[in-house]
Amino acid sequence: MSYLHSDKIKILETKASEIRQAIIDSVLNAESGHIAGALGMTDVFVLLYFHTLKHNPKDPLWEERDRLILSNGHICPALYTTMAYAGYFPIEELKTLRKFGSRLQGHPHREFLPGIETSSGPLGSGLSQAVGMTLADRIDRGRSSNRFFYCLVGDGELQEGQNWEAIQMAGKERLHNLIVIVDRNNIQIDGFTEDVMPLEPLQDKFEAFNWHVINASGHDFDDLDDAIIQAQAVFAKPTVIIAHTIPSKGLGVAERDFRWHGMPNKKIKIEKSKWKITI
Amino acid sequence: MNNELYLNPKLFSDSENIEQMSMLQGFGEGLLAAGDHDKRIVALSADLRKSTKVDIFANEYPERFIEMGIAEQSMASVASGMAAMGKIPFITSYAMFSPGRNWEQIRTTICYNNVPVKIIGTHAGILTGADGGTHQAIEDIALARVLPRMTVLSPCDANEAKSMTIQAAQTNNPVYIRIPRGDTPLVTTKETPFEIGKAKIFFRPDGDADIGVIVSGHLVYNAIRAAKELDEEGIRVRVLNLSTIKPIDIDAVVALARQTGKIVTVEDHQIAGGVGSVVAETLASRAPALMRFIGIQDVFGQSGRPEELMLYYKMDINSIKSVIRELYEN
Ligand SMILES: Cc1ncc(C[n+]2csc(CCOP(=O)(O)OP(=O)(O)O)c2C)c(N)n1
Ligand SMILES: [Mg+2]
Repeated sequence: MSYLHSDKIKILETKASEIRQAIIDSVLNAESGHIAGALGMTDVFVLLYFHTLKHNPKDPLWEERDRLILSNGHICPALYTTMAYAGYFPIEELKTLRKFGSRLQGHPHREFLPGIETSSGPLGSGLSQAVGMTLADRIDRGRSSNRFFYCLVGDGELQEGQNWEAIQMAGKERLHNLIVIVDRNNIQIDGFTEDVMPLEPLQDKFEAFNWHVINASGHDFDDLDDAIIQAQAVFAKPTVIIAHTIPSKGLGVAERDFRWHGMPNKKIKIEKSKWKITI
Repeated sequence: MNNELYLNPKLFSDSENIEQMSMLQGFGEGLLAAGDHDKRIVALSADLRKSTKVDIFANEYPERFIEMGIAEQSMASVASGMAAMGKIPFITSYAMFSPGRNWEQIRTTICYNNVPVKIIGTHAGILTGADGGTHQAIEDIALARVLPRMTVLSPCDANEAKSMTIQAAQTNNPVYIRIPRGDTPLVTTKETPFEIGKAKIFFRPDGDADIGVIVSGHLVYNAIRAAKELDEEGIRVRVLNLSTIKPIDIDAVVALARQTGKIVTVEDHQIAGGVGSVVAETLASRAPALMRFIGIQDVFGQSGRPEELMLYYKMDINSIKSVIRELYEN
């Protein structure tokens, strides 16, 4: 079943490719920052900000908005860039990423930039905060609340024990309007996740904690959108969408290579022409 | 300059072009050297093998290296278990996460148990730079020093980081070593003696000093340069390198305070609970002195280049000089 019109998909694809190039440019300009996760999750951010989320870039604190909690804060170049393209702040400002005095801190800071729901960078605590927000929403609005709480987490990040404390809690409380999206890109800093500390069987683990699990391609807008619509409809449980992504998607030299988790300084010397997005 | 210490001669002749080296490299080499000697040494990483430089040891001794995944809390307690079985574990991560995130595990399973786990907290202080406030550990000295049995060390450069690591491996108690990111000036040489628990005067102008500076970590370089420039203005400043923050070298600190009556502390850390606090606590009951505290004044860090942040948080040479001048005139 497909809900997205093909015209809409075209628009999203164009946005995603502009945003990917802008991510590269801002990270190059900053001379540091995390490439692989940001490029791999770009399509997810684009779908969320240009289609899914109830939000208002001109009124970032609008009470009715859905909340997007970025737990794996290091991929913030994708968050910032998408927010800029969505109209939260001038695209020009992306040049200040990671610089002194910038609103675009190396890891997101909620007081610096309106629209950032929480500060993150240290891994593993976003999901608990999302559980807290969803619980508070339930107290205020009951189970028919129509605000959704989207929490993005890295796959390596799931090795932090605190995630599983939050996962058991959300399962117990049946937080149906909590939707977690895992960036399943199979890499972390020291290597492939399954070599460093295996996560599989990831689906079974979530199910054992009373979650509804959907696997989706992180690069297919149709598939992702279907997953989100299903997640919004599931009522008995919280939902996790395991988004299968390609780290550094679009940047040929870096795709699937865990060494590009962050950008080692020496890589900057690669010719500028090689830093072009090729999709 | 103190000749018995074999400090880097460039510190005085050509301080602007002094060699730079990463303290992380010093730690990595120290751990390898310690591991060569003592097969009980094991090293643990939480997905930060390269950036903490524990990879130097891991590549040589893969069978004594444990990859934890991103799990700092478990890492502290796994290390405690290994220590209970006779190992000497070094746990490595960013200081923000170890001893930051896993503080209670360190307290109960390492210090309360009194087992010889060595905690290496890297990317401590504002030199962490562009990553921003979440990653700049400026509370770690405070966290570590309140724990009974914990030794707290803060090297001034790569040579000291290496010697410190080798000596830390030989003690029977928990040790915390804080290490910043990036290259910093080599203040010492390979010949410079180091001993846990001993603070040394690194800069001593002729005659009696007017002011004592007590400094720990990479800022030893800035403090010495400030003292040297003030010497030319006629203000005589002694600089004490407090590389062991706990147990503090009471004799050295008290002697400096008695001699000068005026003490400035300098650290890349919160004023509360850090070097300044340790020194004030030590002096208050023994040799009260007028004090000034250079460090982070109850705020968080932020993104920026290290030089920009040093300037903003007033840890640069000129800021140190003006605080010393003000105390001198007081
Ligand atoms: C608590 C904590 N420990 C360690 C780090 C350092 N760190 C930053 S990103 C990262 C790897 C994260 O892996 P994953 O979530 O898979 O992200 P990806 O590399 O795929 O972007 C680590 C270990 C951190 N930020 N927080
Ligand atoms: Mg990953």
